[in-house]
Amino acid sequence: MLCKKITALLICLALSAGLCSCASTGDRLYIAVIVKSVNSDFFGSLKKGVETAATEYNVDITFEGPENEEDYITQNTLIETAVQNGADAILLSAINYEKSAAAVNEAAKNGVKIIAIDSTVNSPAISLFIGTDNKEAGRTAARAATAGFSEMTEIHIGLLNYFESTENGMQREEGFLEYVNSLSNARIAASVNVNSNIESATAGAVKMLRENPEINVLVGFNEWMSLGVGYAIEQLGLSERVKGVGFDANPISVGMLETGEMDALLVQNPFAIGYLGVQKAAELIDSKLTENDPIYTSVTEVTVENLFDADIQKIIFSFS
Amino acid sequence: MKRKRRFTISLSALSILSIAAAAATAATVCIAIFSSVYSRSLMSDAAVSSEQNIQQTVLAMDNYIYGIKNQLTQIIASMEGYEDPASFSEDIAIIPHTQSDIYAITIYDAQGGIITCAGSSAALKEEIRSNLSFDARLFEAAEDFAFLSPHVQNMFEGEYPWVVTLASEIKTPAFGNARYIAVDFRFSEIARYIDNVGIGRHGYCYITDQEGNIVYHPQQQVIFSGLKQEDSRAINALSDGVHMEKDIIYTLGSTYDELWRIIGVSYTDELEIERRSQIIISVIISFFFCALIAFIVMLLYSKIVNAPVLSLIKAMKQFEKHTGDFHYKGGGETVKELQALSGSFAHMAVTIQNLVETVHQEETALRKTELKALQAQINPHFLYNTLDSIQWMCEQGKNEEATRMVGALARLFRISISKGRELITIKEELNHAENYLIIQSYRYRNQFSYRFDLEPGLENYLCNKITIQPLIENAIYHGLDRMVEQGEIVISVRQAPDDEKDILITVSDNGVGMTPEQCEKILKKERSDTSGIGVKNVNDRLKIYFGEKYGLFIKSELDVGTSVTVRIPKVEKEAAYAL
Repeated sequence: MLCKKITALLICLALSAGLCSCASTGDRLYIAVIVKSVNSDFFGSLKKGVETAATEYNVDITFEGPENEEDYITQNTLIETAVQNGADAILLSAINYEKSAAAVNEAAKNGVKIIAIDSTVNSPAISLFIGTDNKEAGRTAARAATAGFSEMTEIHIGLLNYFESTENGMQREEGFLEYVNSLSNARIAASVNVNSNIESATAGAVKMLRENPEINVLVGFNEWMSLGVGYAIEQLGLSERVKGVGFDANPISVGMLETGEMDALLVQNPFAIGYLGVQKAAELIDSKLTENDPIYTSVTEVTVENLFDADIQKIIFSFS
Repeated sequence: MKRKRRFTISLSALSILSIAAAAATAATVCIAIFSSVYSRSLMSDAAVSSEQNIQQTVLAMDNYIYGIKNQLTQIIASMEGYEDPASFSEDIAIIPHTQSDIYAITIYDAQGGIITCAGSSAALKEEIRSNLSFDARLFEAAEDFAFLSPHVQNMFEGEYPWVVTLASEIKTPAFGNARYIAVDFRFSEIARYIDNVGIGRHGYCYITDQEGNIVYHPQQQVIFSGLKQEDSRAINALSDGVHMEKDIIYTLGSTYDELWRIIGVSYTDELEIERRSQIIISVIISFFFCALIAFIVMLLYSKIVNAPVLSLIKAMKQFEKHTGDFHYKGGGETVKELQALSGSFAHMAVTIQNLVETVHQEETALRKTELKALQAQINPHFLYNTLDSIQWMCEQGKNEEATRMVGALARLFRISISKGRELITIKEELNHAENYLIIQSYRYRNQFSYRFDLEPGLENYLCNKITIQPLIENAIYHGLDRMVEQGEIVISVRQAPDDEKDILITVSDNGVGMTPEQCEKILKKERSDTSGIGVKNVNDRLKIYFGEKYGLFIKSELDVGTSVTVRIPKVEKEAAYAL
């Protein structure tokens, strides 16, 4: 009888609706964090931030990234996997500004909230950006690089940057150039892009210094570039003559600050990026967060003078 | 039967309404009770769990502090018997490699100069800028142990671990200018422990010193870069224990030696609101679910119980109105009792119909028998008077008249008997009437005249015997008897003008006439004075034989006359109406 079938159907619907509502409210949130690599101190510290917030906000997290920082294909696969595993949100530090857009759009279509951390993707599906104001960081780096020279001295700057398609590197260089161009006595002597690892960075920096002996300021735009800068200056014995400026801190680059190969490090706050990322993701899923203005975390300029200040210590040295 | 117009409600609607009302009341009460009990118990639960967490953390910190002091004490004890710091240092160099929580053991002179250092396999820096593990002022002031809060250890190349330093004065004279022994204990284990203390659904804990300065905070990189505020000094003013603020619970605990305070922070608002709304949602869902089930049950109930009851009631009403041609088919009911009820009703209806039919038939038969008996009777007065007249005629020698009289009487009786048939031809009936008139006209000495007016072609149709004679008798006795001048009786047989199948037989006189009351009375009153057939009997008989449409119709006017019309159908064969 039709009437009975409809009744049965209604009962089933009501039951399943009840069960679903019970199940969904009882679930913990799952946030997938996908970064450029899991080896660097930068992402290690970011992971600490993610874990701290996960403990505080009671969410489940996974922390994954490809083996090398050029492998955007693996990143896209990780995004797809996270969506399949039922992630409520993804924190993504994208390797490629353009080529991860499709994967991000697809994930957003499946109802996953996406927050860009550290470096973003060219996609309208990004709910929020949390990270360094890279352009501003570039300007700060330029200020640090050109500080301490008299106006009469010609400043010849060598730039060591990584993968051209990574958004944050481009932004930093843009900000850097903007500031340098406003100075009359500074110019860019050479600029190279190398793979984001210590070997390529060191080799690139050495080559640049050899080919452009007039360089007196060498700038690296991320953790590995900074090490390349430091190692090249050390290898060529130029610590007196060439000023080394880099991004981020790890025990080696801090050591180089102490021994003089590096003169300034612009230390981002990866812990804060990771912490705020999870916090905002949790709020976003609960619909408590409505604004989507980018949240910029601090960049601290660290020199040998302020390295061991109590507050600076707490920011730059992570607990590993 | 008159029924008062009252507010009525169907059984199923009543059930649905009462169940819905009960469910709504239950749900409301549940929500009220749940939310008050829950919010209270949630708050106290949160406070208790927060306190337990902090007590546990304090205990862990006590153990840690006790442990590191113990280790330093043991190391100091082992210094006895050594002649110089170098040989001691060689022997203890293994310790940082075997005991993972010890990072370095350093012996300083009074100014912080390193005499020996056993620690990491990394090289000791040649020049150490601001050694964070040495604080001359603190070391000097300490009574037995000097304690340096967590800091970065920067004595070795390429390593910057977080440590706490515990130092003590060296009392062994053999060590010369060696003044302090300091042990750097790795802090990362403690940091990890603190990191993993999650309080409630949203909470954390951190360590301050007695002044409220943050010693370690899981989010220190966020706080010290200004992205988050933690008003640790204000919170430090609170005493140990649980402090509930508007939507935050602060729980404070101090380590045994009052070196550190552990501060737990947890947020109650979300926890409470979320759980309460969860309960309310589930109650509402179950309420709707109950309502849905009640609705479905009632729907089924009304389908199974109510609809059959209603159809039964309708059938009963129908039966009340049209008992004769009523047909009821029960069945289709699911409930046993209703099935029995409906079956009984169907059975009863049929029985009653049969009974009514039987009664009707019996009654008709009785009446017909009765009438037959009446027909067979001869009015004794009439017979006596007639015979008296005949005798008188014989005495007077009026033989011819007497002969006619006797002949008429004989024919009258012959037709009356008619071989026992009920229906006779109109011709015979008229003949019967004429014989009666002949006899009566002798008796009334030509007080009246009569004539017949028969429409040709109707004479062979049948009619009940002795239909006209009682009408003539009535006309003579009530119409003409009291008249002074001569009256006239006209008997006409006509085709009915309004129906082709009917015949009208009219007996009219020009006598004294009757009032409408008398007309009515004559059709109702049984004849009591004499036996024989009265006007009422004629009427009844016609109706019994041919139906309600047929019978007598009286038209009368005082001093003008009376006409009585008989309406009968055209009948050709008696068989059709045989008893």
